[in-house]
This record gives sequence, structure tokens and C-alpha cells, in this order.
Amino acid sequence: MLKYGLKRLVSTIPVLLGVTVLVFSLMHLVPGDPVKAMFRMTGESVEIPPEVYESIQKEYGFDKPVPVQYLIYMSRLFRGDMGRSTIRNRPVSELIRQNWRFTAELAITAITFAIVLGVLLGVAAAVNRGGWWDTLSMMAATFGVSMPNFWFGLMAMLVFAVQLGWLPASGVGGFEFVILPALTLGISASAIIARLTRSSLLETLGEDYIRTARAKGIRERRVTLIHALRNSLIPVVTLVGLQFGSLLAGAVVSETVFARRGLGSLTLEAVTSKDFPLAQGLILIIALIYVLVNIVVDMLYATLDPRIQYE
Amino acid sequence: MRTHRAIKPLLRTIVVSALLITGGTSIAQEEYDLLRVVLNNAGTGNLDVVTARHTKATLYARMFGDFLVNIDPNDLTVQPGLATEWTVNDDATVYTFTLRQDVTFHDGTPFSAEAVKFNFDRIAEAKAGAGYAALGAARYADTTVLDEFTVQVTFHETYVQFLNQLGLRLWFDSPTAVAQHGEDYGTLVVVSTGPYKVVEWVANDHVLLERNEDYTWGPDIYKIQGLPYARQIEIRGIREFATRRAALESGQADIVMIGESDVAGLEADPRFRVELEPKAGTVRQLQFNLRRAPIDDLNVRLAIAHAIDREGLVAAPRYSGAANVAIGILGRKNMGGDFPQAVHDAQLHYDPERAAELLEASGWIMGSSGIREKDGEPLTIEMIFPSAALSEVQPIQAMLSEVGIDVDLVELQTQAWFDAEEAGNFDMTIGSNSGTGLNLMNRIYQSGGTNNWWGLSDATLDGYFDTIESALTAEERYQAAVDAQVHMLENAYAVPLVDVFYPFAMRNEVNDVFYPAFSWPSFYQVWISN
Repeated sequence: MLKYGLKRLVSTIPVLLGVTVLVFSLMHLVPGDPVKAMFRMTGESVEIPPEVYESIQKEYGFDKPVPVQYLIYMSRLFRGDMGRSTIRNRPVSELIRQNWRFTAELAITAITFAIVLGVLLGVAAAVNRGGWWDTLSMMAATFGVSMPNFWFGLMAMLVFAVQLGWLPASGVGGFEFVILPALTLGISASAIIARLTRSSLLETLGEDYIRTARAKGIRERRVTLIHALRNSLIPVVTLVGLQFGSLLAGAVVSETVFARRGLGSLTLEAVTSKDFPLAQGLILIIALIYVLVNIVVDMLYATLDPRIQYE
Repeated sequence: MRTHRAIKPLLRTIVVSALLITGGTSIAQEEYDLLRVVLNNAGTGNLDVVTARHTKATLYARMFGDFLVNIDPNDLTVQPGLATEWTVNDDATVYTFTLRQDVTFHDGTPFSAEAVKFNFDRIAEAKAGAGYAALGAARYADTTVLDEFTVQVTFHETYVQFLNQLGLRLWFDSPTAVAQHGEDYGTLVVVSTGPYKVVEWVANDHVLLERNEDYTWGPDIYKIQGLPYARQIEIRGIREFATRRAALESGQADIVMIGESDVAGLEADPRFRVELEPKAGTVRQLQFNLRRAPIDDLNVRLAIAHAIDREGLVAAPRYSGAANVAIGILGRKNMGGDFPQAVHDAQLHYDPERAAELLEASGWIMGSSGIREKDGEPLTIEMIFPSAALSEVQPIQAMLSEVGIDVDLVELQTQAWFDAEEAGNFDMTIGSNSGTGLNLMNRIYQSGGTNNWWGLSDATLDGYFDTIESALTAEERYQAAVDAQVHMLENAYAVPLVDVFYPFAMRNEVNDVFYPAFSWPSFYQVWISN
């Protein structure tokens, strides 16, 4: 398994290289001048003396052809230097270090919430197939999937922060600050997990070994939760891995709506202000997390199903 | 309850007096722990006077710094600040300041003539940004230390706006701290002279300020000159309007900058008060690419001006009535409150029939599709706009279609919109500029102005702008600003639309937010009723 893990880790290198090429190209294809953007952060024009413009271009290497810029960027990256943010005038690595924990806190809470709620709803729906629990769970799941998360976030804020006063409306702080953003971020994932858990569990419950277990007189709850659920979770775990990537992307919305610090709001700022070094660094890190989470998910298969072995 | 600033102090005095007479104890001006302010953004970049580029820096500067002089918001006169006295030579090229002798930076470094020279020379050396512009850019010659507390600033040519600029955005960084912290200065550390010290500065998120316990040199424009009431002030930036409002309504904030559409709702809530602060700068306006047909035709521009119902725009959801119809190119705040009659008389009022006449006079005849045509070509105008302006441009599109003008809306991301304007890839655009004073128009509309992206070149107008920039008396400069705006209206070089406010909503217990002559509010003297 260790060998497999290492092999997968090595295979991430071309993926990440591809990400750097893609991000670098896209950032340069989008209209807008990064140096001018430094002076237009407020949405209004400011005078930029030509000599200053040129010196900043040189400082950041924006005066060189894009392929040369890319090579310089990569050579620095291999030395651990992600560059310096043009807007914040601080090293990109420092900004990521300062903000990652807020997004990690949000994403982990959101995915935990999504798994717990999704699996519970899915199991409840499967074991009561055709009953009102099934209908109710799947209605909730459809609602969760189809609802825009920014709208859900605002509604949750109005109800739980403004009307009831139970939770803070925005910002970062203790655990109470992460509940509403995590709920907003995880609601859609929980709905998808619920639907998949239901269908996967129903399929497993129809397997021969389940019938055998029942024939042996094992109680239904044990059959469902121990024998069937564990085996039906493999596709769910795969989905969780994929959903984690969506959560990182969704953090942009959740962090913006709830005015939280984090990699999501930082990404939005970097992209809208044409902060090339910061945007590149952030997207690279997000891609890396996404890839690593999926490797961990693959490794989990063997734990869930002993028949799966990695060589 | 909406309170207009003109009557607010009077009302407050009456209420406070009544409570005092009746033995009320709820209005004691006492120290308190924390004032929580929420703005539309917290600003990015840094807080070094040399490199700070975001407009919020001027707001923070009133908290952590001081200016050499201050502008009285009531009469726009120049009042003492860190300088107790000053003299200006006849051609406004030499300014001599006598400094206070009791001022220290937050790190204990004495504030002196050397510190002024250090800061001005650093700004001049950087040759960039708003600080450099405020210092007169290339006009700045040097600063001479005459003695420990007397300093002389010399310009290569007349610079009449210097005192105004000093009162706006030229704070002073501690020379010791700048040397000590190197490139961390401004991003991690800020050391100045003001009533608050910067404890924490997280760009685009928040700034935490802590009271400067040694502060005794507050300027006379404030009600207090010593220690502020709030021991700490936290200023947060929240991008979303709804989230900002929720912060106030949920009790997470004391003062919040809200959107115009939230004004009516919060005014109706007895817990809160709304104060509408006129924005300093140019008004929201239509701007034209004068190099392109059919915009190069005066009749077409005049027709556009007459086709726009500005009262309707103010009433539309974007502003929900919480704005004024624009009168001139500059906002009322830059003109000291209102415009003389000449500018009012030059208004191009909503008159669709007149618009139709003007278009027909230029040969644009109504076609069967409801769009005017000339020589088989439809009257189509390409209008670029940043995404945030969508709710403004849609009503304009509808109004212009009423007179047979087809507006092709092109939505762009903000930076791309700027680039398109600069490159001249548009017929019409919408915008405004933040800024102070009468000369704000110069760089935007003068021939060769750095932000004149409209192809505007008019010798008469340039003459007015020269006078604004260099006339030695305030009366001459003011008259030139009036004449320039009348001339612009008559030629429809731009079409003023809306003169906007910054709406601030606050808990009823919040008192004495200070609105400077230009720029953002100050929270130095704010106190909380119990």
C-alpha cells in the first residue's frame, strides 16, 4: 500500500505541472493589466507615471514574454519561492500560511456535516424505501442540490443571526462562526451524498450475502448498518473526495457571503485584481489539496473493502 | 431615522440638554472598550504614506495619523493641525510651517521638522501613487529644515492645492520605525502620531486600532483634542451589502456602511439611525468617446442627455431614492454644498421630445423597428460598463430606446473595463472618480490629462482648468470650476446622472461620527450612550 501511495504521489507531479501551465495561461489571457490593476484597486483610475509603470513591470518580470515569465516562475517555485503578491506586497507563501487554517476549518466542518447528514438521510431513505421517510429525505436532497448556496447562506444568516440571534452573521472566531458558512457550503454536498448513499445501499441490500445474513437470523439493523452499509460506502467515499474539491471552490462563495478570511476570499481578490503571483500560488495549492485528498480516498477503499489490494 | 448632517448637531444638543436637565444619566461621555465599524472593504496593500494606494488608507490615517493642517468641513477653511502656523509666498511656491512641539510618534520618536522632510522626500523619491500626487508630483522641489520645529516646502511652480492636499492624505510615518522595519513597514507595522495605534492590519479584512494613551494634540476641528473614548476600534471590510446589514442587525457592528437600497428599511427600524454623507468626487456620469461617430455629433450627445430621466434613475432600485440628481460634473461636496445658479441653468432636463428633434436634425429618422436610422445604418451605441453598474445601465438602456437609440450593453470585469476605456474601445461608458477639490476634473477632462480617455480637447475648457490649477485666489478658482462645468454641460461632453451619498447606518446609541470636508468619516470622537 505504501508503494502504491508513493506511486500515486509521483503521478501528481505532471498534474500539478499541468495546473501551473493552465493557470499561468488563463491569467494572462484574461484582459487587464496587473500593474495598472495595482493602482485601480478601488475601481477608480489613478495616475501612473510611466517610469513607475516600467519599474514595477520589471520588478515583477511582467515586461518579459509570457513563456519566459513562466520559466522564471517555475524555477522560483522549485526553490520554494511562490513570488510576491502585487496587491498586498507580501510573499504569497506568507499570505497562504496566514489564511489556510480558516478555509481548512470551514471545509472540514462542511464535509463532516455533509457526510453525517448525507449518510443519515440516505440510510433513512433506503431502509424505508417507498415510505414517507424516503420521500421526505429525497425531497430534502433535491432541495439541497438545486438551491444556490449564496441564497441559502443569506437566508440562514437572516434566520439564525438576525432574527434568532443564535449565531454570528459574519467573520471568523470560535466554532460558532463556522457553523453557518459550513452549513451553506456543505448543504449541496450532503444532498448528493444522500442520494448516492440511498441508491448504493439499496443495491447492496439486494445482494446474496445480505439474504444469507438475514437467513442466519442476524437482526435487520445489524445487517443494514454493519453488513450492507460498509460495502455500499465505496462509491460514497469516491464522491466525498470529489466533493471536497467542490467545497474548496465553493469556499469562495461561502467566505464572501459570510465575510470570512480564507483562501477562497483571497482567491477572489487575487483574480479580480489581476494579482498573478497570488492567484497562481493559491490555485496551485488548492489543486494540490484536491489531488492529495483523492489519493487518501483511494487508499481508504482498502480499509472499507478488504478485497481491494494495492500493489 | 434619517438625520441630515446640517441639523444633526442641533438636534443632538437639544436632546442631550433635555436629558441633562431631567437628570438623565444615559448620555455620559465615558470610555468604552470597543467600537465596531464595518465598511464595504477594508482596503488592500499597505499603510505606508509613500505606497498606500487604496482610498481607505485616508480613513485609517485619520485614526492612526495626523495632518499638518485640517480642513474645516463647515466652511472649508484651513485649520491648524500638526502645524500651528504657516505662511505661503505670493506665487504659492514656498510654504513655511511652524510645528507643534509636543507631538511624538507612537514609538516615542519626537515629531519634528526632520520628520516632515524625511516623509516628503521619501514620497517624492517614490514618484508614484496618491501620496506623490498630493505632494504636487513633479512640482515638488524640496523640503528644508529651518530649525527643529520650522520647515519649508518649495515647489518648482505654483501649487495652490497644497494645503487642501495636506489636510487630506499626507500623514507622517516615524523615521525610526521605517528604518527599523524595512519592507515590513506599512504591511505589518505602522507607526505614526495619531489618536490610535495600529495593532493589527490584515489587508482586505480588518484593522484593529488601540488608543494612543499619550495623545493630547487632537486638532480643533474635533469636539475633543485628547484621549478618544473608545479604547479600541475594529474596522472590518465586508463586500456583500446583505452581510453588512446583517452585521448591524445582529448586533455584531455599531456603525455600518450600507447600500442605498437598505436606507429606507433601516430608517424605519427604531434601533438604528442613518446618516447620508455626500461622496467627494465627480458625480456618476455618462462619458463619451468623442472620437467615434455618432457620439462625435453634438446633437446625438445632447439627445442622450435629454432622453435620460435622472429623477427616475435616483428612484430606481439601484439608489432607491437615497441619492441626489446630479447638477454638475463635480459633486456637491467638492463645490462646498451647492452650485451657483449658472450651473443649475445649464441643466439638460429630461425632455424626450427635444431629444427626438435633435436626432432628426442630425438625420436620424425613426425606423420601423423602433430604432433610428441614417443611410441605412441603425443608431446603435456601444456602452461598456463594469459588472457592478448593471442595475444603473439597464434603466439608461430603456430610456434611450424610448427615443430610438439602441444601446448595446457590454459588461466587463472591472480591470478589463478600465483597459477598454483607456484603449478607446467604446462609444459610451459610465463612471465617477473619488477625489477632492476643484482640480479633480483636470486630469480627467483636460487635453493631455492622464485619465482623459474621451478624446476631449477643448481650448476654452483647458483655459478654465489652468485657472483652477494656478489662480491664486479661491474665488477665481471657484469661478473657473463653475465655468468649466457649464461649458461641459452645454457641449454634453459628459452627462451628469446621480450625485451619490455614502450611507452610514448606526445604532442609535452611537454619537458624533465626524465627516471631514473630503474623504471618509473619522471615528476619533465617537462616544456611546449607555
